[in-house]
Amino acid sequence: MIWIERLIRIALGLTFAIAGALKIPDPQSFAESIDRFQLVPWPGAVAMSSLLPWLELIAGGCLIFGWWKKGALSWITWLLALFWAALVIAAARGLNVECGCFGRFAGETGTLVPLVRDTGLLLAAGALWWLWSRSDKSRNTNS
Amino acid sequence: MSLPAVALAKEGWLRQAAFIFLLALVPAAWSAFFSPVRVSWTRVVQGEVSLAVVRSWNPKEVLWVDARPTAEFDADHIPDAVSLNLEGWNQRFPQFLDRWQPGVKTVVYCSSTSCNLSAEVADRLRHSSINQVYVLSGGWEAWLKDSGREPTKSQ
Amino acid sequence: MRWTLLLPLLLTGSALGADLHWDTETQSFETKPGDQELVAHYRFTNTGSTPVTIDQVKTSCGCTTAELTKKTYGPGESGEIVVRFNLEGRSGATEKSIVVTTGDPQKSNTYLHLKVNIPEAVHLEPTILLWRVGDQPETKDLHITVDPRFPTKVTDVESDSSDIKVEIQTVKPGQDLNVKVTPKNLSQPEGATLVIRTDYPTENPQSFYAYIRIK
Repeated sequence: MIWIERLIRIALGLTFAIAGALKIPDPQSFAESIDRFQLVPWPGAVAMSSLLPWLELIAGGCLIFGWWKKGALSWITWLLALFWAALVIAAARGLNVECGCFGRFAGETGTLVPLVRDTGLLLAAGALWWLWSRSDKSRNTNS
Repeated sequence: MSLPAVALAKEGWLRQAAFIFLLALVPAAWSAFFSPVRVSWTRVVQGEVSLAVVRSWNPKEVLWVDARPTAEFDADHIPDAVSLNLEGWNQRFPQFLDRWQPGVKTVVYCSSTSCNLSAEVADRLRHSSINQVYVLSGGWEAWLKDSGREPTKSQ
Repeated sequence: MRWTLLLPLLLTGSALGADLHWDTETQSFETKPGDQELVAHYRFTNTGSTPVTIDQVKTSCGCTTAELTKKTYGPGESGEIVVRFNLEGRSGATEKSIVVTTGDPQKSNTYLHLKVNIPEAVHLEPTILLWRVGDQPETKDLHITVDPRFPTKVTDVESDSSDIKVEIQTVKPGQDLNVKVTPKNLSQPEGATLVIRTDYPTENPQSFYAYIRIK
């Protein structure tokens, strides 16, 4: 059973670490992406674009190497849930994250694919929490 | 199940998360304030005003300009607004001039915050020596929200 | 056990190993007077080992369209995004961006930039001549200058209203003119347009407009 925990943990950690690392050199693009959701004012988007990539990188890295595992997974779960909520709100608002000029791109808001992928990652995180709680229980009953 | 162990485990994740956060704050601060690719904190469109501010002006002094494509203007627009966009500039600018008076505040809007047509039309107006040109923050969407209406999907 | 470290590569899926290499992400252009549209080609190649599907190509405004013949590109395959920028009503320097997404929100998108400078062949100073009702009908000057970089020549200056007197003073034939504009009277609000006609480009010569208003 240990190998499946390691598999999910490293995969999830790698996904986040890489995602974070890719966003660090281009905070401008990330801030603009956040801004398109219209959930926070611009300064908020700038603050998030500075902090989130590093959180992802460090939390992902911690998960890969097994350091501060619970803290790292907490952040990852929280970020996934946040992004999931943002996508749902954007889809519900019919938010036209396109140019909003001609209705050409009106139908395509591009939220479905990220939503599906995010759900998958959330399930992976959930599986990890479950696996850990089982091993905690078995450790507790043994001690 | 031993309760102290559960309690300690619960406290553990919070403390760990806090450490990770503090650890991330250092490079985040660098990204925000010192990085060569840091993002500007202000994103002010020149002459941007909120609907609240426009409402505080004397309505007789406000001239609304709709920078959206003609089809959207025809469907619905701010009452008494003049349609003006870059493509139809030569035909429509004289119509704008007929409505314009020196001393009037011209407020340009497009569909929402995410379009830049209003900024482009506003720039062109200023380039044509019209002064007191403003851009409505939030655009048509802000107007609808203010009058209690929801934007339709096609908008 | 080391092989388990490779398994995450499968889970992260098409994100790793798929890579689009762009010939150039920023292009700059200078247009000619009379140009209606600018077309730019952004070529790319899939240098990765797995197929890449371009999910979306978004432009920053409706004035720019981006065309893609197909969405999926196999390893080693090349393609291009054809960007068309409508120049109507524009002048000066402008920049538009195109965002290319491959569907994964965790990866950063590709931002293509199009920098365009649209020079104006003819410069009018001022573009609006304004008088107030009740004032004295004084003469105002309209200065017309042609950018020497272009072969444009001003052929005609005409007012569409007989209530406005127009006197053309030639400083340099076709290239530098001073137009003296005098309204007949300022008894009521009125509007007129001055058309400045040119001979360039020959197939569709540009016209420029100055506006007269009595308010």
